[in-house]
Amino acid sequence: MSTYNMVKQEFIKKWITTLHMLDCSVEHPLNVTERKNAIKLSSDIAMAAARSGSTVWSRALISRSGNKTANKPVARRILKKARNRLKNRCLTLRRNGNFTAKSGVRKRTELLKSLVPGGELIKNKDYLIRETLDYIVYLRAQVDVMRTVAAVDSVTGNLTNDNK
Amino acid sequence: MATFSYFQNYPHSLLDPLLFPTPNSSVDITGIIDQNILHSLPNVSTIEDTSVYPFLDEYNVGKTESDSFKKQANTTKTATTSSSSCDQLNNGPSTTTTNGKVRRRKIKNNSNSKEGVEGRKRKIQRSEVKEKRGSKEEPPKDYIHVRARRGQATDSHSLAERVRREKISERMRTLQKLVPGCDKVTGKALMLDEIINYVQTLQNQVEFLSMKLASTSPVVYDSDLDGLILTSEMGSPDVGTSFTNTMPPTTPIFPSLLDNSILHTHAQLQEGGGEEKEKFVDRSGFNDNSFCSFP
Repeated sequence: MSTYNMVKQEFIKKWITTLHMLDCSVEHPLNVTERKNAIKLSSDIAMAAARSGSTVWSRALISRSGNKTANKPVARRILKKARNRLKNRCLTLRRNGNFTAKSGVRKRTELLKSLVPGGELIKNKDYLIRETLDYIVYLRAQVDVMRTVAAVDSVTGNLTNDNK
Repeated sequence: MATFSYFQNYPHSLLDPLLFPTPNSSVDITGIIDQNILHSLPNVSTIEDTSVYPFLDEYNVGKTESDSFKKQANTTKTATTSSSSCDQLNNGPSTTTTNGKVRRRKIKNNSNSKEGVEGRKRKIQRSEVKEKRGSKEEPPKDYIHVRARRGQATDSHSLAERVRREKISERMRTLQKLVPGCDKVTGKALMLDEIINYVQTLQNQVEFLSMKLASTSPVVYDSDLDGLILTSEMGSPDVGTSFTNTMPPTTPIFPSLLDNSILHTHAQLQEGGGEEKEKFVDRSGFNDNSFCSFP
């Protein structure tokens, strides 16, 4: 299980960095939704950056996050950093409008392609499954880390309330 | 009846440590199967290669692809020494690959002729080079040899097709083990259903957890305490100093999120053990004492 721990550690490091970068230049978002979006964005970028390799989903995730928050300079800066790390191999996403899959497997493959970031660009089914595998590992790591952080956060929240 | 030796040359899934934690069972495997295992683990040499699936460098075994056909009779001793020299994580995939190959060898018929093997080897090499995805960790010298079972077509195209299909089914099996509750399901469509379900669940969990984190982290904080807590809490000095260097001068938005929770989690992982909630409570208690001591 040490490999999985390494994945989580890598993700944590990147997440702290991205959160700090968010702190620098974004004014205090008062809305909970905005905060949630910022957290999600930072963790997505951190997940993709932690997987800084030649996987399609990591590059697609970064470019997708860039398209969503093109106005915010902080997102650009984070993405620039991540892009440089990935040697400028970001892919542009073009979404397919219509799924005209005949058989059940074909239909489900299309659906899976829509779920995994950058899946539409993968033509080889074997490679798609490999990407999904990788993506699932990192998603799981992200969920585990966030769950632990949320648990600790609630505990510390209770303690600070008690001390007051 | 054409016979080929089958080498699976795809890089092992990075999930093998998660999925196959069993230690290496010392089965009496023949030399050829050992060679299969050795050559099925590609040698990830450059950084570019390791970046494709980084867990592969755990399975780094020396590559001697040219030797595979020169020595048919390989000693079990060399195989076991090389496999024992790898860490325990290697033993998992080796075991499963062994089982897969043992199964295969039982099915095929034994009629080997070296010249025939050599001749068909070259054909398969060409077709395999064609169907290779251009992944960098497989050097061009590798080739896949397929055993054609009784009553199956033996031309190179269908063999390459079968190799591809078997790769896909192998992946599906691995995915099956990864996605929980997917053991009973057979057939590609239903399995893909489960996988889609799982990915959607994980993504929804991320959404929910990020909303939860956004709602529970307080807003006001003092930036001086960040440095204090970082330097005091972090076990490893290098990580602590790197974070203090990158600390922004402005007030952070997610202070308790960053410093308390994430660093605790980080320290927990660095200790390598599973930390219970009591430990968290202790640390956060220490944290709060330090809070109270500063005005």
